[in-house]
Amino acid sequence: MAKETTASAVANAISIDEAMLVEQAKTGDMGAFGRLVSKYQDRVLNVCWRMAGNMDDAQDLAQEAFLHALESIQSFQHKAGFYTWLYRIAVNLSITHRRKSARQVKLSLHGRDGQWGDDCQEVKPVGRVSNEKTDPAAKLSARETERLVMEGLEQLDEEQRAIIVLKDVESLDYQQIAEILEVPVGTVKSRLHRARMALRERLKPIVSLEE
Amino acid sequence: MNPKRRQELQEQLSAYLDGELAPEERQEVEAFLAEDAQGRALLDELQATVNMVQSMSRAKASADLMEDIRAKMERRALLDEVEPTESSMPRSYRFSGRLMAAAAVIVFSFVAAYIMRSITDRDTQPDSMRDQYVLQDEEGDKVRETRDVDELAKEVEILAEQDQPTAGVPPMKARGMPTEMRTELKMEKGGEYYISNDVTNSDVQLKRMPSAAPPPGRHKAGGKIEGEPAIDREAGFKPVDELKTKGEAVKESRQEPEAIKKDVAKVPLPKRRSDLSAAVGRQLKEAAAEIESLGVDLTKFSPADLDAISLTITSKPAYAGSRYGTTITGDKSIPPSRSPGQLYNYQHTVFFGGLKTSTQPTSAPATASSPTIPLNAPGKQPNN
Repeated sequence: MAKETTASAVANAISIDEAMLVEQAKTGDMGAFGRLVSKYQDRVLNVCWRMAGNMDDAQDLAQEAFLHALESIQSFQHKAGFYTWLYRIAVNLSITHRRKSARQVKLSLHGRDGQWGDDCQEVKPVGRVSNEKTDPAAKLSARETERLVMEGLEQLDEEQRAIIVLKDVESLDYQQIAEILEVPVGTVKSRLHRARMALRERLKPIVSLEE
Repeated sequence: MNPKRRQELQEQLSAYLDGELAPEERQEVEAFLAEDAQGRALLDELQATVNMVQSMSRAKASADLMEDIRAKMERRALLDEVEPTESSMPRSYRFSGRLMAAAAVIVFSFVAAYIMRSITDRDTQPDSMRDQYVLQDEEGDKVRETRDVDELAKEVEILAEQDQPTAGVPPMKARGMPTEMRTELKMEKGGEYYISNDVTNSDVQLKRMPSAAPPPGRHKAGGKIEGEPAIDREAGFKPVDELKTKGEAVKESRQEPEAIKKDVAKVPLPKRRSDLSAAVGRQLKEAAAEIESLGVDLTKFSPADLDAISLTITSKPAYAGSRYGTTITGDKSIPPSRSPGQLYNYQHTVFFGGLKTSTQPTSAPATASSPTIPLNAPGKQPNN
């Protein structure tokens, strides 16, 4: 109980501190805005990275998200947390970016016949290929797994991708995600399940290897 | 269990994994999993999927992110990619971009005007041309503000208070703005002049302005203009007070604030950096034209002097950590060896956000007969 009280007091102090920074930023205090940037820059960058699929675009999007926040900060009313508002900006920019980049060639985990495709074989680690017959349970390298997961995410639609990023990359709870995406918690619940089922389908080959 | 209920319970599995179910819902799911092998397999696959996403690496933002944001904001303010409004942007940002652009124009105007003055007025101790400046709004010719240098200094001080480097925030790198902008005007023997702009580390496109041949009949300074006979420079000489040239008009205008306004405020406040560049080019071209128009007067120089009048303007961030500042340095020189009667080396530096607006001569008189003429001559007061 005492622990909860302490944690609550710390959370309140952080919230008050953040609210003050926001108010200072509204007056043109770039130092205050800089502290908000420092606090959230990694998280915003990672959201943009996993949404955009590449770091170059992610850096631009993160920069754009903070710029947008700075330009719009006068309209921020503290109805939601600053991070919620900031995440919303970043996610919306990323979704818009993805839609604009529709002509971008999407890599596929699957070949024309829907099976494990040639493009994936090309990136199999040499060690794994050579050991595959003797060690079928050989694990993919972490980097390879990450690349394949990113490709799996690429194939989801923007809304599904956003919800997985917010939940499984950023570890936000359903209520926070609902506020960011401006949808009911029930929608978060059903959409997240559908998104995970879709990703599971795309990652099935490596899911079975990992198990 | 009927298929529909089974489907409903399967759809709860993600929320079950995330601990987002109410206690009674959780109990229902656990009972379902206890008797349904396919349900357990699906749960394992979902868990493996989540684990893979969660195990992805995390990136760390660049330490320069805030500086990049600032630079981009400055550039937007300057380029008007974003039209600043009272409600959407901190005042300091709105003001500084435009003021910086205005400052650049002002400085260039001073420099250009100084060329004219130094050519036309070298027999007298020059007054400060910086005692008054005029800004025009970007919409047209309407004069927006007229202030003297003291007022400008106060404004700079206010900006500077807002422009102190912030602890913990890395110094500004000159992204989005030129690390160096060099504008050069040269008068060459024979009266030709050219203006060139070089910008380093900027996406601003600056065009090299073509060489312009002087109009026929101008520059009877002894330089040979192709296609024309050589000119006896003494034959073209007239005393300064007999001249009826634009140069003389400039000289007179310095006595009257209204006239200064007319002459100095010809450059509207640019909306874009490229406009600024073009404005600078135009301003320098006008200055060159003024110089050209003084062809007769220039006969007081040795013909060799004409290849030596040069103007260099360099723009850099005012200091490490400055958000808005720019240092603009002008250097106009006539090498002593080429101009025994004149020496006009000087440096004009404006620290925007750096509490300083100053002009300092940088060269000592070469000889007793060739005094350095400081821009801020002691005892000289503004004429207005």
